[in-house]
Amino acid sequence: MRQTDRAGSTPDSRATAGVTAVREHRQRLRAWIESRTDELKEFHGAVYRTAEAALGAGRLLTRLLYDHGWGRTGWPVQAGGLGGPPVLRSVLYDELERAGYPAPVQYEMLETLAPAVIRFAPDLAARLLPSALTGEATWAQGFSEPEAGSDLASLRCRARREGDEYVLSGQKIWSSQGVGATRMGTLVRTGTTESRHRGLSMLMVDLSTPGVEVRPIRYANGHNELAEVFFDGARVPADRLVGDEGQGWAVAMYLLQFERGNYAWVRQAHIGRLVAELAAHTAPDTPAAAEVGAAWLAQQALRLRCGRTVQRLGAGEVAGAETSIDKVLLGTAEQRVCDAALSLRRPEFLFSDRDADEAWRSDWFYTRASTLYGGTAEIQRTIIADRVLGLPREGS
Amino acid sequence: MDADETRLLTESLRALFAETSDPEGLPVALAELGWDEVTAEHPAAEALLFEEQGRARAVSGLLDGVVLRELGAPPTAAVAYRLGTGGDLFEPAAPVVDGTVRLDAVLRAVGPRASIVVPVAAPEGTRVLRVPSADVEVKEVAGLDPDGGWSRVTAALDPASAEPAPLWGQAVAAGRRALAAELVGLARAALELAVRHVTDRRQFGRPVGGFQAVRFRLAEVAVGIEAAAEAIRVAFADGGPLAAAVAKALAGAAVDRAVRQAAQVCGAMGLTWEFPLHEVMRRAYGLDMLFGDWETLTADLGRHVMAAGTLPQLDPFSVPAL
Repeated sequence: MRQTDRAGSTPDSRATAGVTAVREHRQRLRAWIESRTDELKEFHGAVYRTAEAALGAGRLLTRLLYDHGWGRTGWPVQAGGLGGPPVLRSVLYDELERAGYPAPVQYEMLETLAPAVIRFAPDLAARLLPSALTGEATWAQGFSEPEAGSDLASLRCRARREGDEYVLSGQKIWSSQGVGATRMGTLVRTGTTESRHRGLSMLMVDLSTPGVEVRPIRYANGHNELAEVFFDGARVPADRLVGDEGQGWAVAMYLLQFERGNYAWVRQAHIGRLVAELAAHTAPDTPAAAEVGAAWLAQQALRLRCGRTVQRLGAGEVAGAETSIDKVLLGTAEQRVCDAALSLRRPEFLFSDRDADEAWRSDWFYTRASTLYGGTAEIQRTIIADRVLGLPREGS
Repeated sequence: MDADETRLLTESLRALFAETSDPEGLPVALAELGWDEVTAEHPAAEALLFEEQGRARAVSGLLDGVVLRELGAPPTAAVAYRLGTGGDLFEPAAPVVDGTVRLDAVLRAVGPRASIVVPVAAPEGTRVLRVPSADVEVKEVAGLDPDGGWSRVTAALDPASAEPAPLWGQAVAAGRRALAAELVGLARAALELAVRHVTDRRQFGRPVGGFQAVRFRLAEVAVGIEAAAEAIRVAFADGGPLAAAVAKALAGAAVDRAVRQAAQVCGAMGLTWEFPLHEVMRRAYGLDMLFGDWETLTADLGRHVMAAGTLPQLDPFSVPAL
């Protein structure tokens, strides 16, 4: 009944070997981090008062991790990595945050975008990914437009083919880490507006291209977390296509799975560190225990669920509509943890100028958006109602 | 277990619970199914058994069987599930006050039992008293869940003959995993009732399940259920007490959310005696209380996290992907 290959290993024994490999990687990494407290000192518990400072520090730490090989592990050899299963990347983010080092924010966008580039444009990945893994180049994502948010398929930013180039005109908005980014995975319309999701394509656009202008958007926490990007006749080589022309929607949908995989995993590692901080600095009375317990449980629920998605995606499975469940857990957990800080540290949260408290406020504002980006909580619930529960269509 | 094996087992168990109404006949039916061989090869199949028990709202002594097995005790006893809170998160046990064990517990056993196993929170660690059933008063109790087969036992006992029980924590963990699965089964039952109702029931010329407010409530229910289901999967593979407590807390929260939302979207119909939702509610809250209700567990887990030097984290990568 069981499948056995020539080496005599069953699916079960291979899976167990995978578990062992992950555990051993974790142990080696943990030992390395513990042995390098001097080298890593400047990053420990760091609080950055601007988005640019966070990106700058992230660039340095990414470089350091690259040089020691940890930042290359789990990425394909052809794209500048050292190979191995992608789950080893998850272990890196987990162990950094566990030891009190914020994982470089660059990895968030890279984990969202890179799998789609590797899958749909391996040659492009081989050219562009190495400089991202070193931290030298940072990536951003350009999906939303002023008139196309939740209704993404109505986007209008145009790319017109001229010879070996695409000529871009239009606007993108709400690009996380768009300020300071080197290039942007940009979803553009190559077909007619009426073609909706069928007329879209994905391009990796260098933001230094003439005709591209990046303007920071100051987010509610005071940081330039977001950007809007204007295209005015910007010329992008056609070999920057990710997938075929007209395949943009499929690429975007493929990509969104990874936002519920390793991207969500980076975030759970981050808020895990916040729960640890909250637990360490709160008197354990009964209301506090209930609050910390609920925050920790929400983080663990996310961790287990998106960890499973990371494994499934790593095994080449398609994780479809059910990843909307991961996404709801992400928004819930992020907000729950930061709300616990507001509730338990109210005097400091409201009236302290210490770095740690400004960090809580900044995270609190930041996590308000986690029920918005990548498809709002409402969109996710609609997908779950339609495709997981099979409820009657809305308005039907 | 691969997806096909899981599906086949689930179908067999569902049929088994549908055909076996007599709780005492259940062990026989499971033996015929070769259940012991199944769990010998796949310990996690126990989750399917309890999930289906929950879905069927069946009453059995299966939970006692799991707890006693882990404890290394004969299956002829009944387990006393303490009603109070407080004490050790991982080893709930009856407190000793002024040299006397204050027992206030419920039994989940089916049929007569020779003795009752009473875990006792002794200063040197958990111990277990085996009390002859004849020595204490066991009263059947209807309470919230009249069809649940519950009995309540209160007694003041002498702890002198209690024996060390180093396996009690392990037994609690196994019981919590089984209970979590049963609670998820109940939550799925509530969700299925609600989905069917909002699909069939029409108002304003369309199914009420076509209204966003209704759809969102049920989507929330699905999120809670799947989070708990994943925690149960990890808890069975992990085997430890922390993962088991997390699974049970999430499952209790999931079923609490499920029955509340179902009660809303099923309208007045959902709250009639003939509509089975109240039966799901009754069983769910009863079972949630065993080994710690979800709200108490949440606070206790919070205390555990706050007392730990490093943040405790469950590891999904310690479990092979399916």
